Amino acid sequence: MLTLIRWQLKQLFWINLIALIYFILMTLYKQEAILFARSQWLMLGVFLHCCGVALIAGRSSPRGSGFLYSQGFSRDQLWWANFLASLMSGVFVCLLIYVVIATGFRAAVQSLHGNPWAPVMGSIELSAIKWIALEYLLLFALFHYVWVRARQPARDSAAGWMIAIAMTSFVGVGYERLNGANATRSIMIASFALGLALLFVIANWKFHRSVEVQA
Amino acid sequence: MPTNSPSIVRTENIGRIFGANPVLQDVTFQLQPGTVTALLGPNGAGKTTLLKLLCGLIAPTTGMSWVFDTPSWPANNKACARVGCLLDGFEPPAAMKIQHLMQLSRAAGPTFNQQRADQLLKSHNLKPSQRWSTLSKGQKRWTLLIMLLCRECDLLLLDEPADGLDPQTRIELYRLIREEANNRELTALIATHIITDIERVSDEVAVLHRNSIILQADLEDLREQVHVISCSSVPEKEDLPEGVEVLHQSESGDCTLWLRDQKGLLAEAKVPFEESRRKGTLEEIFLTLTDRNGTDRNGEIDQTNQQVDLAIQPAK
Repeated sequence: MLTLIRWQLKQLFWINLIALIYFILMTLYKQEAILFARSQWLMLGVFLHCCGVALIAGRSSPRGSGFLYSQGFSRDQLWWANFLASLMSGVFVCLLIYVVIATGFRAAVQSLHGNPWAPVMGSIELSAIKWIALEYLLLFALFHYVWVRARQPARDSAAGWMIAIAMTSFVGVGYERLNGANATRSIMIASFALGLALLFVIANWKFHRSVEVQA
Repeated sequence: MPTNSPSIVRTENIGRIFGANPVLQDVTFQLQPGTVTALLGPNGAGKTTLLKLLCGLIAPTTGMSWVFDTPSWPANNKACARVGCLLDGFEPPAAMKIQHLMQLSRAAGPTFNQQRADQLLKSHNLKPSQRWSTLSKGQKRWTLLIMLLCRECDLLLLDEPADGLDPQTRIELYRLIREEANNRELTALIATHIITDIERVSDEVAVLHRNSIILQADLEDLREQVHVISCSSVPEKEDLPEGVEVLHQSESGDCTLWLRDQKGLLAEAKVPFEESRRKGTLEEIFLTLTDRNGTDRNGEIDQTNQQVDLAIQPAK
């Protein structure tokens, strides 16, 4: 399994590198406090990163991940490796943001730029990371669902896309509701997002068993 | 050598349609353990599709197939690790190094033989640090074959494995497959157009034509059964022993009959107007069965193709 995950991470190297550079710059130089629901550029970054990762990981062309399907691995082994490699891409970003904030790098850079809020930023911003992680989980589940559906024997890729677009809009609205939300509403939104993500992960896993790999 | 064990691969009326185009129809056959089977067929006959179906890469539209007694679709069982596939176009990303590919193969099956892999790589001057993109076509093919051979799979499904290999490597490949089949009952299904190579190692031959298997037979038996008989005049069909199948009848110049005798009736009997007889080669049998010689499967002459001869004559 580790070999497979390593293989997938190698495929994702460039998209992850670009994402890490984007997020490190965003975290260091963003002047306003990082409150996830109010940081549209951060949300967009997560969205694009998820899109790119799912596109690369879901390439079942014979030259991409498709080659792995001819190498004696079961569908479940491949699915786990693929999904875990995708999640790890998200984890790298969350860890990076955490390190940059928690170690005080962000506060230091902001102080240099004369931001008066710099000393107190870290303590309130760390809570945004859990929302970023949740967005990653949800979007990975959605986007993987799209390519898995698109490669079914009876092609219905449109259905996968429509469901993903509908759900992404729904989640976007949900995240907007996080603005000024109290603890109960935040927990409700988080639980709903988590439930939805799990549902898509299970659907992915099941549908992946009947993905077709064509030359 | 073939045994009485249950079949390793079994298909029942398996078929696949792409769009409105049926690429494979009602294919029923099986492979016994330890047999090397040549899968022959003209371009577009459905060989690659059949291999993909058996590898579990695509779903059958009709019928079913089993590999090691488990359905090959969906491909999600322990049998996957026992199957090695080599399919045209399935290649690793260009940046991958040979060592990464060997690691991948080791991860796929617990039986990977690292020592043998090192030896086979070394004997062909391949270095583990070489990237895929720097390899020649033949080296790429050989690297993929090493991955499969060193995984010590129980079933190999190979699509044109010798494509791009030099003659020595081709001979080595088929020798290794033959040894594995003899020593540990490796079963192999090899789709190829190079009949002279494959007939040296095969136990069986399966001919795929117009999307269906039209023949599966023991190669030695088939060679014994097919007679090429030259006659001074065309004999009547009724004069031939009953049960003898006319595969082809050439009427350009002298009459030549291609007969398949599964019951040994022609061993003693003579065909009317017979002048000489010989056994057919596998290549000739293949060409006869796949209509490349001017007849269709009913033995009737195809007027449009009548002049095509089986033998290629050098230019004078």
